Amino acid sequence: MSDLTDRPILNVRDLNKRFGRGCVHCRKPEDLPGLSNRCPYCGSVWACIHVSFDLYEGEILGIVGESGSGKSTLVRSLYFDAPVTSGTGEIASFKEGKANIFTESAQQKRYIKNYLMGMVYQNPWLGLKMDFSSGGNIAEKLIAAGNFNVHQIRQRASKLLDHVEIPLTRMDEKPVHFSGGMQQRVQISKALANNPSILLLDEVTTGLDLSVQARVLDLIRRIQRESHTAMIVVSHDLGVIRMLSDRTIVMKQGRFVESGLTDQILEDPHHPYTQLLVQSLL
Amino acid sequence: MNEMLRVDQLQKVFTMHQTGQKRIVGCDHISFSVRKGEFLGITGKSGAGKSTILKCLYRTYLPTGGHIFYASQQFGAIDLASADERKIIVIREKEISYVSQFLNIMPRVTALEFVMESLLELGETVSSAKKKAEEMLDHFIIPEMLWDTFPRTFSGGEKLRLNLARAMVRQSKLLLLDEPTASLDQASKETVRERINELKQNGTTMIGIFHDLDFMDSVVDHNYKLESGVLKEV
Repeated sequence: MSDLTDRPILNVRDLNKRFGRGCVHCRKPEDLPGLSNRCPYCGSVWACIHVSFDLYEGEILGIVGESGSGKSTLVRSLYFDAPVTSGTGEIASFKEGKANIFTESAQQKRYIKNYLMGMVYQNPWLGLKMDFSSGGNIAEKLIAAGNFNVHQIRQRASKLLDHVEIPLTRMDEKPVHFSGGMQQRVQISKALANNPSILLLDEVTTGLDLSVQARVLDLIRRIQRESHTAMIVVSHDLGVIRMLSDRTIVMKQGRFVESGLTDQILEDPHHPYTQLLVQSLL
Repeated sequence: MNEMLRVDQLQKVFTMHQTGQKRIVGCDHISFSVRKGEFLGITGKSGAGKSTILKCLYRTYLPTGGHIFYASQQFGAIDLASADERKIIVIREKEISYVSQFLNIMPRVTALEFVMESLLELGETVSSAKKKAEEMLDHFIIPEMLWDTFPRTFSGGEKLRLNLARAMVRQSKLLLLDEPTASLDQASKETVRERINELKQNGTTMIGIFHDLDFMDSVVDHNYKLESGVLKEV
């Protein structure tokens, strides 16, 4: 955690994301019956409904919820992988925080992805080019940000891979030959290539065995402590959230149902769904 | 001396949605105050609500009613019961420490790193933090051979002493202690007593929960008993 800053580095207001064409019955998410996020008439699903939050410098914000709650859609929308249906997002370091990033041009969105944000996917195949070497993957990100000096690129890639404990002897190997944990660490180093101020992590430890998971968690915490990068960590695993995040948001059926300090969410949950989630913790 | 903390009509009610909206009163109408550099001890039967009070002060529990006025160095007078989460995070990082009976530690973090982190958060250099952390581990009789090992496998007493070392290595403004001597032998209790006295001399305000009344009497300035939901000074 860094010192308190008054202004968030990212603020998101009323983000809505619908999958499906929608119909007259579900033009707005509030038109949906009950607490459902699926339109009974056309089958469209609102994966994010009126999602609003702030992210501050140096903090780790956890987003937790069951599969299908919309948490991955949220971070993918922030990374422009899935276009939002409506809503605003402002990054303090982009156009003085006065532009809605979701309505920017493709070129500006590429700028944000290359300079201001990094993303680590649950599936390394989405974040890495498996036919490139590990160093090549990092180089791709650096070149996209306008760095064409081969020597500097190689130096930076070495430093990043060393930071995530990938032996430099394997820098020229393709990550397809790496273990799942190593692939995740290469992905993290690629996401950090241009020192983004915001790092999005989508279920990064899911599917990894416990010792590898511990190594990745330790790495994330170390990066946050050393670089003060703000992070959004999405996980269905409350243990991961407990270890990493300062504040936590609980999602269910596309909606934020509760938010608070992480220890408060875990020890004093208020919403019925959060209580159920915490009581189900092993 | 200045008032450091004033608790006014604190109430915590838990509503259990999974069991038919059952309401459990953790504590109610709790009022007390503590001045800078004082140590307030709370005793009472198990389940009386002592830990609930402490967790409300640390905001692990969100109070249902009442106020917790705290003289923050960063923010001035602030009501911890309703303060913004971001402010609570900063206050926890810089001013208020909490020693629980349980060790909550990241995987792959050694005992020494665990204690050092507490100082690094305050902006100390690595070399200074390392030196102070080593002194504190030594003070709490944690063998040097364990300093670079992972504490998950430590004994109950070692884990508690490690928690104490982490919290007491820094000069907090307010230190909350939940059973700081449970599962400790006499020699270890003595080390805790010594450190508490040092912190008091340097102006740390403390609130502690105890079952060991002899120990409590030897360190506290005010002794409160929580009985049938009522907190009374003994």
